[in-house]
Amino acid sequence: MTDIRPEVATPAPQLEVRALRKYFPLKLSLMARLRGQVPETVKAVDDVDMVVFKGEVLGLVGETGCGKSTLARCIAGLYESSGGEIRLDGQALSARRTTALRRRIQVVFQDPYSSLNPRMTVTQTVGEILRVHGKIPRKAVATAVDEPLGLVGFPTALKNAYPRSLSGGLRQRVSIARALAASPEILLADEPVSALDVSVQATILNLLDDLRKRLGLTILLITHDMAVVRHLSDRVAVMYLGRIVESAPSEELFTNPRHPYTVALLSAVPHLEPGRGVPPPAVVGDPPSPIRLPSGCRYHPRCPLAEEVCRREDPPLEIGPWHPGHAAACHFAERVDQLVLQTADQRRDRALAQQADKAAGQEKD
Amino acid sequence: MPELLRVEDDVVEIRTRRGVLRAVDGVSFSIAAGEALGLVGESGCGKTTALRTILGLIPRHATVSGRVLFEGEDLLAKNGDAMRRRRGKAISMIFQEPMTALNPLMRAGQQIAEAIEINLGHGGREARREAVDLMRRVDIPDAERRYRAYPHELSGGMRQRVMIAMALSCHPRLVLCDEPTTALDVTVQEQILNILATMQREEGLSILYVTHDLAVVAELCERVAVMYAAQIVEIGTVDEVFRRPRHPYTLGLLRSIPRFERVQETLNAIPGAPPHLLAPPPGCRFHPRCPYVEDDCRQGDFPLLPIGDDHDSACIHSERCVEAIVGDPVMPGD
Repeated sequence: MTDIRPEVATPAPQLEVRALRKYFPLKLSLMARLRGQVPETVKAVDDVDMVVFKGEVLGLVGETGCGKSTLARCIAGLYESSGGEIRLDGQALSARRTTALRRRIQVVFQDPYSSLNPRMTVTQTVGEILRVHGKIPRKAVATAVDEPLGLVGFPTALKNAYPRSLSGGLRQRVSIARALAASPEILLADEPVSALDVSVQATILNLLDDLRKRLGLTILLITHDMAVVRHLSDRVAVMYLGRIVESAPSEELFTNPRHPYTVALLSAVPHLEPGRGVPPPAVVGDPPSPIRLPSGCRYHPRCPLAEEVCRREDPPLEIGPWHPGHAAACHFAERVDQLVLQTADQRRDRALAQQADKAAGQEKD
Repeated sequence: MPELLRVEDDVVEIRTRRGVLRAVDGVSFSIAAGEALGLVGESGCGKTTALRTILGLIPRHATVSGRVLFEGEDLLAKNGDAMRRRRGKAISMIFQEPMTALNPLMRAGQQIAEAIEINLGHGGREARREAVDLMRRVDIPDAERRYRAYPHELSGGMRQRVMIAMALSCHPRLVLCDEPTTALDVTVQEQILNILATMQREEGLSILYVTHDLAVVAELCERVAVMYAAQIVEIGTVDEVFRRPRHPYTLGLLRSIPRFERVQETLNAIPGAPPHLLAPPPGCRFHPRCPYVEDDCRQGDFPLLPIGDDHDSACIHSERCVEAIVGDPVMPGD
């Protein structure tokens, strides 16, 4: 497997994931077990290689069930991986970690309504982490929580409130403050804004950006929202069915995608600018089940570029000649720019046809 | 185009233990035949309740007033049976979560066929053939086999297609969509929007599309109504409202969304959070979060006022939005 570092001369990565696997065996009925059937497995994460550098925001995108949250949970130590390794500053991490190791990677979950204990006040929630990881004595906690709460802009007047009396935006701030209370080096943010109101999302995104700049935090941002990723990330990795299919610096990935799946994903994002109409779908069907993975390249059943070789051979994630930090796992990566042009053409034709249709409809009236 | 639906002064009051909550407060809008109207707003702003009153699908402890005129007939004045005849036939609905809206114990295709049998009175075999046909039209591959599948055997996108097939089965003139793509991935969302856009174009279907996603509205709809705290604060053509918003909430919302097509330094967030509907602020409900607030915003009523050709706003200082856009257009290149 090729190294996917952005440039040859860059420092060693802070977080390194090598050939990581996480398989979930499916339960069999008693009869099936008596018949001696072998249980099937869901390959949620299947041979993932990834590096994260200090102080960067790496956006991990992909659709439901592609394994992005499972990957994050393995990194956080919430799941024990089935194979491969995770290294933090060169040190191998298992799921069984010492408190000191756990402190270094903290998680912000998607839903601040279910990830905060409803029976603990804000001070208790954040203070618990301070006592465990900051070794702050119980008596000093009440004042010590002001620091992480201040970092996230949580009004300290509300620090003795219970989560139920807080708005979604404030709850997510508490959840971020709880993670920061451990002084982590890496923050895993798993869909940090998708449960929030649209008008509140921006404040949390600005906060994450600000924290990265002020504290030099490394952030692994997991989301399905391409606009959020483009706004916050320095680099982006695209996941499909348990595998990373493309990774590149953010602008490079968005302007010069080299995997057909990335092209489909990017062209499916609705734009706010009116007058574009609904574009023709760039990909047909739903992702296949991660239980029975397609042979060869996992994207071949939906891929417009697929040929015989794609059904046979699984393409490795390799740096191409386009950019020193741009890797794609496609046999025909060099043809993908043609696909981008084609998609854009189809889209323009469709928009023109829709306009003509509407004009014709108005004349009739 | 002739008007198909007109909602006038829709008010929905829900009795709760802590008092009476106005989930919808004086909402009025209309939809022309063949038109798609987007109703956008944040969670809890009353957009789903407003949509549900059209079909009379409101909780028992709620009271509704106002008028819902469908082709001139007041649907709210109808009794249960007359309403049921309308439902599914002239007006149908697509729900957000197809898994809870479909019957888990009944084969997907049979649920479509059942709708055809009841509403159109077609015989079993004919209904079955029409159901398979419809499944093909909403791009369900292998429709014959999928007819026999149970909802749990289908993916989210396939289930939503079954819902759409069912909604279209009786040739409705209006389809009410309640966030039909929110639970779906973007690539599947795009496919679903395509089916809806095609039906609208080819069969002159009218669509009322409720969502919090302004970009989906920009692609699918001709007109848009923006709701905030149970009231419509701005309504007009998508082109007008998104390019030249005349309500500070609409402007704030448009500026706060991370844009896929251009990279911004920081997002212009709207401070604060939407108010609770049990105790909405007096005056303009947006005034505590509004950057242009003045003394006269803090009390009184704020009805929609026409400010242009097919463009109404509830803001009495809407010229401030005009000033804010000069030199800093909402859409790049304007």
